Amino acid sequence: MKFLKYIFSLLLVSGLSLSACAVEVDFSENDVLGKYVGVVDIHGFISQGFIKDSGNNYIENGTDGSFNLREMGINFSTSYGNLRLAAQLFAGTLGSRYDDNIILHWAVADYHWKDEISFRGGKMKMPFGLYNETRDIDAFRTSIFLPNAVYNENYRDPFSSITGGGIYGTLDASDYGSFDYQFYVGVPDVDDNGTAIDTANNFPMIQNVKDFTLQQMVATQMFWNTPIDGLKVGGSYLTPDYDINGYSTGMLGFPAAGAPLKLNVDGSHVWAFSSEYTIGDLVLAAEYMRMTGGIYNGSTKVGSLNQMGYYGSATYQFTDKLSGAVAYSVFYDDKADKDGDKKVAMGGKKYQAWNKDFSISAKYDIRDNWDVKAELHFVDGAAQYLSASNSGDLECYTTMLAFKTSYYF
Amino acid sequence: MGKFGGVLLLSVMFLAFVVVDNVLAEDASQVSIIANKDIGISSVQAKDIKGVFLGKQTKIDGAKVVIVLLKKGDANDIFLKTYIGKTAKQFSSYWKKRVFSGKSRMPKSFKTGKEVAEYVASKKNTIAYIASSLAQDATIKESIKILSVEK
Repeated sequence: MKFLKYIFSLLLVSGLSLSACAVEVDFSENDVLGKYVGVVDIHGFISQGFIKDSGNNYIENGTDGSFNLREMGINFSTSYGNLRLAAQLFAGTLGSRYDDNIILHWAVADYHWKDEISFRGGKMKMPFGLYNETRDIDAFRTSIFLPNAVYNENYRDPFSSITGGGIYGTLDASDYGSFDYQFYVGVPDVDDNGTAIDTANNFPMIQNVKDFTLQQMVATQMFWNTPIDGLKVGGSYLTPDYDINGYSTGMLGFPAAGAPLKLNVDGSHVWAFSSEYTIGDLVLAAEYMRMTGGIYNGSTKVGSLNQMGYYGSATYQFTDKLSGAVAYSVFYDDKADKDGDKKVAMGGKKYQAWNKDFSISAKYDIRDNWDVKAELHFVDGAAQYLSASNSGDLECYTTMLAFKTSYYF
Repeated sequence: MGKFGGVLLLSVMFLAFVVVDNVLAEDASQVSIIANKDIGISSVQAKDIKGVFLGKQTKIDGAKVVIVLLKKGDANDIFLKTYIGKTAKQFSSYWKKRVFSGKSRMPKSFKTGKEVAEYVASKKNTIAYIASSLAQDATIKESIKILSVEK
C-alpha cells in the first residue's frame, strides 16, 4: 500500500509541476491508440488543512489542533464518439479516518445518446442536494466544510458514491426553463476506515461495530432551471438501507453486553429540497433534508431514524481574488425531540438533540489554481459529534477554526 | 403619500429594468457567436447558447455542436454575463466541478479570441464566442461563420 501511495503522490506531483493547466496526453500519432483513445485529459488537485476546536471535537480527539485534514486526487478522461470513459483516484484524511488510503473515487462509462436521455454506468458520485457530488473537492467553493445539517460528515461514506448504472439528461420546457435529472440504481461503497462505522457506533444499543454494509438502492435527483435567470430548485431522493454487525451494549431488550448483534436499517428514505439563486457575484442557497427509517433487530423494530436538517447560505465574490461566505445550519437528530427530552430520558444531555452551526468563511485566490481559506464555526448543540472523536462528555458549545490551501490543475 | 410612493417605486423599478435591459443589449452586441463554416445552422437562440455552453445540450436545431471557450478577457465576461448568467469565476468553477465529479471533459479553451477563431475555423462542428470587433476582421470573417442570435 505504501508503494501505491508513493506512485500516486509521484503522479500527482508530476502533474502539478508540469503545468498549471490540465495535462493532455495526445495519442493521435499512434495508429491504434490514435484511433480509439485520441487525447487523454489529466486533471488533479491536492489540499491540506488545519483544524482546531474548543468544546467538542469535530474530526478527532485532542485539543492542540490537527493537520489531519487533506485530500488529493487525479483523474483521466477520454472519448470515443459518444462514449466517454473517465476515472479518478483519490486519497484523503479526515481526522483519524481514511488514513490517506488510495481509492477509486469514481470511474464511469458514459454514453451520450440524446440530450434528453443518456446512460452512465460504473462507480458514480452520488447525486444528493446541490453539492454532494463535489463535496470532497473544496477548491471550487468558498467554504471548507459544507453545511453539516444536509452534508453530514457522519454519513460521508454511504453518500459518497454509488456503483451501478442509470440515466440522466436535460428536458427542455421551452419558456418554463429546463429540467436536469439523474436516476441511478446501485450499491454504495463504504470505506471500513471511514465515518460510517463511527456513526453506527453512536447507536446506543450497539458497540465495536465491525461491518457496515449498504444494500442496493435508488439515487435520483431533478432540478428545475426556472425561467428566472440564475434560480434553480429541485429535489433529491435516496433509499439507503443498511446492515450493521457489532456487539450489544446490553441495553434493556437486547442481548447481554458483548454478545454479537446485527441491526438492519430498513425502509430508509433520505430526501432533500434544494434551491440556489445566483445574482451576479452573490449566490444564495437553501436546502432542507429529512432522513427516516426503521432500526430492526431481526424482525423486531427497536428504534427509528427521524432526522431533519436545513440551512441557508450566502456567498459573495468581493474582488477577483477574494470571496466570503456565511451559513446557518440547523440539524435535529429526532424531528419529534427538538428540545431533547427523549435524550435526557435515555441518559443523555438535552443538547445532544440538536446542532445549530453558524459559520463564516473567506477564500483568497493566490493564483487562478491555488487558494487559501479560513473558516470559523460557532456551534450550539452536540447532535453531530461522534463518541469516537470525543472521549469525555459532550459539551453544549463548540468553536471551530479551520484553515486550508488547495492547488489543482 | 402612500399612493405616490408606490407609483414612484414602480417608476424607479421600470427605469432600472430599462437601463439594465439596454446595458445587456449593448453588451450583447460586443460579442459574436461564431462557428465552423460547415455547421448546418446560421442562427441560434439565446436559450440554446446557454444550454450548449453549460454542457447540457449538444445539438442546435439538429446540428451537432462542440463548444470552445475563451479563458478570460472582456469578451469572455460579457458573453458569460449576457448569455450564461454567471461570472467568469462561477463559470470556471462550474466546469471544474463537472470534470472532478466525472460528469464531463473540460471544453477546449484558448487565451485569445484569435486562437479561438483559428481553432473554430479548423474543427468541424465547433461553436464559440469572440469580441465582435475581432469577428469583423477580414481574415477571420472569411474563415468562420458568424451566427445571428434570436432572443
